[in-house]
Amino acid sequence: MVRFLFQSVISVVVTVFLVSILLFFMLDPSDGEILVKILGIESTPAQRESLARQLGLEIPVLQRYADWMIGNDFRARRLIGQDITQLNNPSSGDLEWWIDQGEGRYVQYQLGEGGELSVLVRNEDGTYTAEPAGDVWWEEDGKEVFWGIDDEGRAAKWIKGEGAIAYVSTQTGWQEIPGAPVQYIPLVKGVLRGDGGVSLRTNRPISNTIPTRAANTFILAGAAFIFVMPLALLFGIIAGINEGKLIDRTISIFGLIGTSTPEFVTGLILIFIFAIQLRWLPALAIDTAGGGLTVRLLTLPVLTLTAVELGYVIRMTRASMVDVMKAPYIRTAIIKGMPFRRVVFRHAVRNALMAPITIIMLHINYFIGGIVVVEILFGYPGLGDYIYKSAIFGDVYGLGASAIVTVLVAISTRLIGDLVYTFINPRIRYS
Amino acid sequence: MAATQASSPVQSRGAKLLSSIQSYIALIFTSRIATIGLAIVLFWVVVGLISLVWTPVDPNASDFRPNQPMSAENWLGTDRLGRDNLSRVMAGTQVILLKTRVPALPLSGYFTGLAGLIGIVLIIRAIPMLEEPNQRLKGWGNLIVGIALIPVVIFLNGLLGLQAIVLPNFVLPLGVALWGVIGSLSLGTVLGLLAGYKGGWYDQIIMQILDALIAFPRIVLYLVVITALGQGDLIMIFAIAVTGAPGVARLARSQALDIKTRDYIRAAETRGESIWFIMFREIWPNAIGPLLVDSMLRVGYAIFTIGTLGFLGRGLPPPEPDWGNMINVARPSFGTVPVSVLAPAVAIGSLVVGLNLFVDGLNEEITRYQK
Repeated sequence: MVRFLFQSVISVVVTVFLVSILLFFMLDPSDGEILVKILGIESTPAQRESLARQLGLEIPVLQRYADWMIGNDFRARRLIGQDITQLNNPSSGDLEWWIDQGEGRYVQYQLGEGGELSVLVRNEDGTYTAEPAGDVWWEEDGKEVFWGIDDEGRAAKWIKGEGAIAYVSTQTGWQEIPGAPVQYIPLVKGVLRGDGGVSLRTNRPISNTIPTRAANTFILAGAAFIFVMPLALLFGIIAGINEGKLIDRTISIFGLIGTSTPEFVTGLILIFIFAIQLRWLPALAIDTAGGGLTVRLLTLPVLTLTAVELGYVIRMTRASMVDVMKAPYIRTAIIKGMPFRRVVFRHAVRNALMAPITIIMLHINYFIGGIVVVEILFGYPGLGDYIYKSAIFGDVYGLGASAIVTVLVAISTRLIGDLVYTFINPRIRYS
Repeated sequence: MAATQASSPVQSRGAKLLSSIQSYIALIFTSRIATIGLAIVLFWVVVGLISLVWTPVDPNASDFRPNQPMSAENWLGTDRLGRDNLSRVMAGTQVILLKTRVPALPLSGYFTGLAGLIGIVLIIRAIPMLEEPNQRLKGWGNLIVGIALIPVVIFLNGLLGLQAIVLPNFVLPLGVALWGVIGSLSLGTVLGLLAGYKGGWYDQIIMQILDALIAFPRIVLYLVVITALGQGDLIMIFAIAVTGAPGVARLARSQALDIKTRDYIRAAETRGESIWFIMFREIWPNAIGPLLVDSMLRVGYAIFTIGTLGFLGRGLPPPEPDWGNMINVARPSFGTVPVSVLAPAVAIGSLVVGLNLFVDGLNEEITRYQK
């Protein structure tokens, strides 16, 4: 058992590692397509180059992969020569990087118009006051250079008198800023430490977005689960004890049709009936009124997921029930004159439910896939919607981090399924 | 089946094949579900074949009356560009089942592809040689040449300027869903048989990599592949092949694990056959049944997936009509012209359901005979 657990954990680690390699190198943004997406098709090569430097895309790809996985704050700390830390910005709720100079003094740096470096001292409420930085430069290859954290929270290297031209996004569009740093390191703690970096699409920390999105998805999945399980077990048992009869055929065929119809087809048909023809329910599950998620909003997504998942669970329950009903001890119970109802509920159901409950846990990947499509169809703000939008935009960090979350959920659920199965079925032993 | 075995050896090979096909057809018709499923699938195949030569209107021609409801003229209305929905639904079967559009590629692409294939063959040939002590040197030679071939050819392509010569685009028979399943079947079978028959490190490494692919929720993997590589028929085939291969490989592996303990495998090993002979002449023919049933189900998944990706705006490229894409494009006007959305939706749904009914019914009959 310990050996099995150990092997599973090793396998999970290797799997996550392979998944991360696959994601990162397939979606590598350094070909510049992403720059056009962010800046627009009419951007100049200089603007694109500046943005690529600000995003750290000119860093070699292996280094970027390592940064993405385990973070680069320790590297930046060495370059800057001072302690750096993440502080919460009360106005946006996002974490930002600051240099920690001790005694509650946190600073960032900014190069002013005249080429003078100013230091931004953080106030208690997250705002800052600018002061002249004084002489912070040090010598390197005959030039005066300085590593610090800029006002966007990136580690940046300035060279005195040699400022590069950067283009930054402002209210009025992209603006040219002279005297910008010549090199940037976008600070990140790494996926393994729970920080996926800043999304290329929304320009906000991914680790802030994913929990709220995942919570929404969890609500949807949970609602569907609560709906599907009792229904499916009931129908599965009915079909199982009536094997081969008309009622079994009907349940099985409807289950098969429900499962094999693509989620979006089922969803569209439900939208057509309930939202367009009858006008009972909203066609989108987006909370526009600010009233939170209501039953009305969730009904159609949950119904769609139910239609798709119901058939699968029914099938598993039915097969297991059919097997159990053929077992000798059931025959004995019937022959000794026990009422059929009692045979089913006392003897058969308990044994028959073991298999489907664990097999359903192994089915989680399909379920997640279904949720992704349903979320997109109904515009539901869950993790699936986030994955889709990130994929469409080519936001490698957003897609990578959220895909790893789904992979972790899937693997751990399967592992739990395996363990539960071993636990409730004493005939299986891992040795 | 019994009649086939009892028949005289004089009976020709063709006749044998015919009678085995006949017994399979008989098997299909004993199940009512399989018959209904087959009828639905055949209906769409026939519709697709008809659409190759005739559709009510040219599916890509606009009559400049967009978003029309159902009428005597346009039975299923028109889409937002004024194209006839009926013709487009009919022609939508083509990209899935009947034809694959190969885009115009530079000659160098074909050259590199060919070199890649030769390289793969060389690497495959090298594996059994490495096992034999007296052929080890030759095996290493094959392996190195095989691996080195692709970069060398890419370099040569650059040198010869083959990039400039572009071969025109052409159409392959069989649709994207079918080629995708053929791809996942070949890839999965090779990997699965190798893992199952060789065992040990081969098994560990192959299954670990495939586990990483299985760990992805499918739709996420598709989105990643298509985001990375772009849209296109060949890319869709690649995506279907890669995402389907782990499942096929697991099945093939379990079959190989079962079959490799048989006596005839021992006999072949004693004769000194190479592992590729044993894998494909001894194990594969005995493992093909479940693999074929599984791959028929996979055609259903593939159509499902192509539809879903089209719906997400990441499916097969226009202008040829694709059902998923039609839905995606018509969705903004779902409230006013529902038929433009519902017609392709029902088409995808019925085709996938038909395939599933067919395979389910067939599977039930097959397992009934086995019991």
